[in-house]
Amino acid sequence: METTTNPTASEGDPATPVLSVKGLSVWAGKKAILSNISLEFWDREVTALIGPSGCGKTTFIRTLNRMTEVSPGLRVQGTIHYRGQDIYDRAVNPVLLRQRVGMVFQRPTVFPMSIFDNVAFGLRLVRESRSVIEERVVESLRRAGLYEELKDNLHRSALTLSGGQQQRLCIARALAVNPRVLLLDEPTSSLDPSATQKVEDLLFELKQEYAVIIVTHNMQQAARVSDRTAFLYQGKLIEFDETKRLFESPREKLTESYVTGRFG
Amino acid sequence: MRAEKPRRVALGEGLAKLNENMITLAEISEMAIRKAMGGLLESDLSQAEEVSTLDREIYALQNVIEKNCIDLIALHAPVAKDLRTITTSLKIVTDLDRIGRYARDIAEVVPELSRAGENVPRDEAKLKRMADLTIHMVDTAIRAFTNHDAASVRDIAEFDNAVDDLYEALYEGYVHGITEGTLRPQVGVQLILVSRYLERIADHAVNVGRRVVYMETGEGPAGTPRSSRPGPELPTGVG
Repeated sequence: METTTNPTASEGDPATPVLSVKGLSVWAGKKAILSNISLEFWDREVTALIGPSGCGKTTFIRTLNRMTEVSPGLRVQGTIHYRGQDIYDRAVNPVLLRQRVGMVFQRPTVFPMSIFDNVAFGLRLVRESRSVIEERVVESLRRAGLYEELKDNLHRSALTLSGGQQQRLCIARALAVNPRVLLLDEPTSSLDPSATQKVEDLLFELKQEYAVIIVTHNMQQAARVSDRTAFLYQGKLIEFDETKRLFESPREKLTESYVTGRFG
Repeated sequence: MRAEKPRRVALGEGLAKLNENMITLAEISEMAIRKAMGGLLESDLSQAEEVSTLDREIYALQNVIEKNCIDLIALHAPVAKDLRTITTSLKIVTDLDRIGRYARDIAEVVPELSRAGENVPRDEAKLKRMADLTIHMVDTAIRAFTNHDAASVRDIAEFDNAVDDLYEALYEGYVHGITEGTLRPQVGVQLILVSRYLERIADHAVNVGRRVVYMETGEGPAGTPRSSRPGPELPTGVG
């Protein structure tokens, strides 16, 4: 299994979901943060998670690469399979899992080092050779739409980049370790409209190769960028459908009320 | 869920204004067809003359509504029921405008028939029945829209079939009259056109009904097949 031994991503079977969540509940003490959620994510699709603040969106995506383990006191029930393998199995190495299921956070989390070193960071952790690192850094920056902008300044401090460039650099860093799934937690909430547009355009490119799961507060963004949308409310999955169906003719009254801005 | 007050107040106000304009447009369109047929069947020129004014009002209001809809889409990016209401309104205004235009076309026939004399054989019972059914269909479709009632238009297609049957019967009767010499061709052609206009108005009522079902339920109208019902056949020896 690639999350236990082989760090090279497999193409996988297009007929099976890349991530399959069944009966997922997350507890903080006696309080249920997520209740009995089941849904599937597919390769080469963007899935948006929407819902009001506190509905459990961020907790949910953090369960998908075991980032919940970083927060003490959370108890996870149910199963999550990545390409058929239970990611909470003891044999799964969470570091390798997080390479396959990479995450980009709300605010850009660039390290205080050069642009090159930021992207190379994960590759050095797994002791890739210098030539592989150079090749992957350039490729990742290209995929993140940054290479042409930054190719002459790769050894400049990443802290000198604009917010939008920093966020795309974080995406490049996640891409460098060859993920199959990208988790994006409100990746444009701190960006201006122009930088937001660049990230949204990038999502369109990324979904040609990856499964992308994006948490967003901006429903128009969910409508613009995603193929499927999941609506969460009070820790429950209320509706999960093709994005155009969910925004045009939602099946649930609660979804209708939320997407039309009547609450939240 | 907490007690909700609509947060998108501006969109709510825009939708309320749109609904008000749509109801007005629908009422004027229905009035136009009633007056046109009243003018025709009662040889009442004054009713017929009013239709032209109503048609101009319909056209002007249609433009206002289109602008309303475009502004709401551009400014508020509506979704779900709000989106369906706006796109349905955009489509329905065209149907209502066409109904108004056909009403004007019918009204324009009235002076010509009036000049042709009182003894024109118009097959009035069938024509009146066709007009009643058509007006009923328009009324049903419009009420469904204003009352947000998808169930009331479920059987509107059956009325359309009855209108189509009457059109075929009238058409054949008028052609027969022309070929037999009992109906002057100038008059016969006008009556064929009137029955054709009614048949088209009924089709527009069906369109409105289908779109109301979509607006209310989200089902259809994409994939709804275009009616393939053939028109009346020409009698042997004609054409």
